[in-house]
Order: sequence, then C-alpha cells, then structure tokens
Amino acid sequence: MAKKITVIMNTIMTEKSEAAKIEALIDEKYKLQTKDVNVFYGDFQAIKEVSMNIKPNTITAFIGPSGCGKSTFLRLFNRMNDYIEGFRVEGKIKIDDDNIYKKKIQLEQLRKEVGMVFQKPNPFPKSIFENVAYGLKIQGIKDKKTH
Amino acid sequence: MNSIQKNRLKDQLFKFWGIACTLAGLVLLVIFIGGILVDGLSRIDWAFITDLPSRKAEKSGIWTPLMGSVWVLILTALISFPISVAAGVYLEEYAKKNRLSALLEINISNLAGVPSIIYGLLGLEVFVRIMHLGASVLAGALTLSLLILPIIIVATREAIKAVPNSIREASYALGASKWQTIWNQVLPASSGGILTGVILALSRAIGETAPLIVVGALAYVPFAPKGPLDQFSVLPIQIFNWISRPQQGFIDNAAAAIIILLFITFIMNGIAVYFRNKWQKKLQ
Repeated sequence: MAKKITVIMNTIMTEKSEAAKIEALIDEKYKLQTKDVNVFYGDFQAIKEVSMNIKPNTITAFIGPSGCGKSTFLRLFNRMNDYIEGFRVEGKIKIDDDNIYKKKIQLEQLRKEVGMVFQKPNPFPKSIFENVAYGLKIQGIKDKKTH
Repeated sequence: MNSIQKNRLKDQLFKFWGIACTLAGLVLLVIFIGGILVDGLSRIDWAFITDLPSRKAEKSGIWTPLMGSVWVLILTALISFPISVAAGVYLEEYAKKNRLSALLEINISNLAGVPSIIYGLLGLEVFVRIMHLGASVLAGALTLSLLILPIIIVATREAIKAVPNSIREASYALGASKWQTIWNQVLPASSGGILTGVILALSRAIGETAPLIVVGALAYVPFAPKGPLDQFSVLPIQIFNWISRPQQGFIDNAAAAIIILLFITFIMNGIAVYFRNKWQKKLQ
C-alpha cells in the first residue's frame, strides 16, 4: 500500500532520482515541501519515502485506492495525526520553509493557518451560527460586526 | 416431536421463565410499597413534614432530618461534582494510556465497590478527628462525597468516551487548544451523561445510613441545621431509629418517612432519565 502512494505521487510530482534536485530547489518558490516522509502507525508503515513540493496558489490532488495513505499524508500538514495512537513521522515537512514538526511549534497557530475540510461532514452538535463562529470564538473574537 | 417443535417449545419455556423472573421483582416491590403506603400514607400531612421531633409519635415530624438530608445533599453535590468531573476529564483526555493509568482505572472501579461503612470510618478519622470538624453536616457531606466520587468519575469517563472523536478533530483543526476543545465541545456534548451520573450518585448518597452513623449523625436533633458546622440527622437514620421503637405510632412514622424518601429518590431519578434522553437526542 505504502508503495502505491509513492508511485502515484512520483508520477504526479516528482521522481525519486530527483531527490537531490528537490533539495536544491528548497526556496521560497514552494509553499509546502516534504522530503523523505515516512509515517508509521505502530509497526505499520502507512507512508513510505514521499517527497513532493507544492507551489503557492495551485491546486493539487492526491489520487489512489482507498487505504493507500492519502488522508494520512494530507493530515500531516496540520498535524492532525498526532492524536492517533502509535503515530510516528520521519523526514521533513515544511510550510514556508519552516519545519512544522519541530518541537517549539505552536500547534494552535499552525492549525489556524492551515485550513482543513474533512472527508465526512463534521458539524458540532450546536446551532449553525455556533458552528460558523466557533473558529473566531476560540481566537477570542467576540464582536459580531466585521471590521 | 421434530426439532423445530422442540426449539419452539424451548423458546416458549424461556419466555415464561423470563416473565416469571420479571414479575418476581415487581411483585416484591409492589408488596413493599403497598405495605408502606398502608402504614404511612395516612400519617403524611404538612405538619408531619414541618414538625420537630417529639417523644410522642403523633407529634413527631421529619423537619430536622429532612433539612439535614437537604444540607448534606447540597454540600455533597458542591464538593463531589467539581472534583470528580475534573478527575474524569483528566483521566480521559489528558492522562497517557499506560500501565499507571490502567492501575488507576482499576482502583477507581474498585473504590466504587468498597462497603460504605469503610468510608464512614475514613471520614471519622480524617474529617471528624484530624480536621476537627466534629459530627457536623460538613463532615458528613465530605464523607458522602468520598463515597460517590468514584461513581461520578466512572460516569464522567463513560460520557466523555461516548463523544465521537470527529468532534475533537474538527475543533483542533480550527486551531482550538486542548482546553478550548474540552470546554466548548467535549463537555457540552457529554453533559447529559455526566449529569445523569451525578444525580444517580446523589440519589445513592441520600439513602446512605451507615457512614453517617459512624461519622456521628444523631438520631435525635432538636433543631434543623443552620450552617455547615451544625450537628445533623438525615432521613434514613430517622427511619432506622423509628423502626426500632416498639410503639406502633413510630412504626407508622417510619413508613411515612420512607414514602417521602422514596419520593425524593424517585424525583431525582426521573430528572436523571430526562437528562439522559435529552442528551441522546442531541448526539444523534
């Protein structure tokens, strides 16, 4: 499974032999950069050696059979996998050239900036207003008017 | 008789056995409540509730033990609710799942099964003697709080476990901190289950007698407690006291007090069921 995603990603983004090139290309041109990313859930390796770069203002799609690691890879970018038991990641994942798996990272700030839409609709059991306003509310914004 | 008929016969037999078992419990309960109603219902009037205790059965009322029960119940709720809910939240949301937390979990479940008299002895030593609270409402409430802590902790954990992880993830993904997620999403979603646990635990506390006798609740208290450090009695102790008297009048008083105690418990359980239903609807 893990191999599959590597293959698919390679065809979309880059080839493994170009790994050296990628390193050379690490500059502000890319919004997201990953290099040699391995993800493990306990003993199971879900993602194997994925390296890819994504430019700003582009749309990128991951395609693959179910269970091949698309969601796992996507969830790396706002560190949502941290809550899964036995999760472990190797390699580099950078946003704006900043390693998001460094120790000092502020998770709340990261997630505020990296928006995410879940696979399944995921509303809070509250009113629609509360659902829409929740993101602002937790940032301490209470004023109902726009500025 | 072929095998299909045999199986059907077994099915019928088991059904009747089940009905018999269900009825056995119900019939006993009906006999018990019926007996009490016959003895006590005529004794219940406004004066019975508001009268102070007396040496004469027909002049005795349950005002002091009733107020004692109310005081103990309110203090117990105030003490046990924040402590046990916080402990439950910690164990479920923060504590790492390792051997220590597993050990803690087993022990909390075990505590829920410790005989209540043991809690009474603990309360006597710690609250009455070491903390010098005396045989006060506060000492009784603290003891009962200890008694129901594990029950509420277990209920809180179950309620929090039932909150789907997708709600937490949605909150985290918006940049909420752990505390914001717990306070804004997890606790509101589990509040029905937690409240059910709290109310059921309190309705157990209101019926407890043994630990309060050990702590020093009295069978005869001339006045209702006015503060947390006053001496007190509670309804079950008053019932116990009346039952042990030889005169028929006191036996009737006991039956009447039992009716009132049952009524309070019934109301509390009713509230618990209401919250549970409301909560289940909300989560679906």
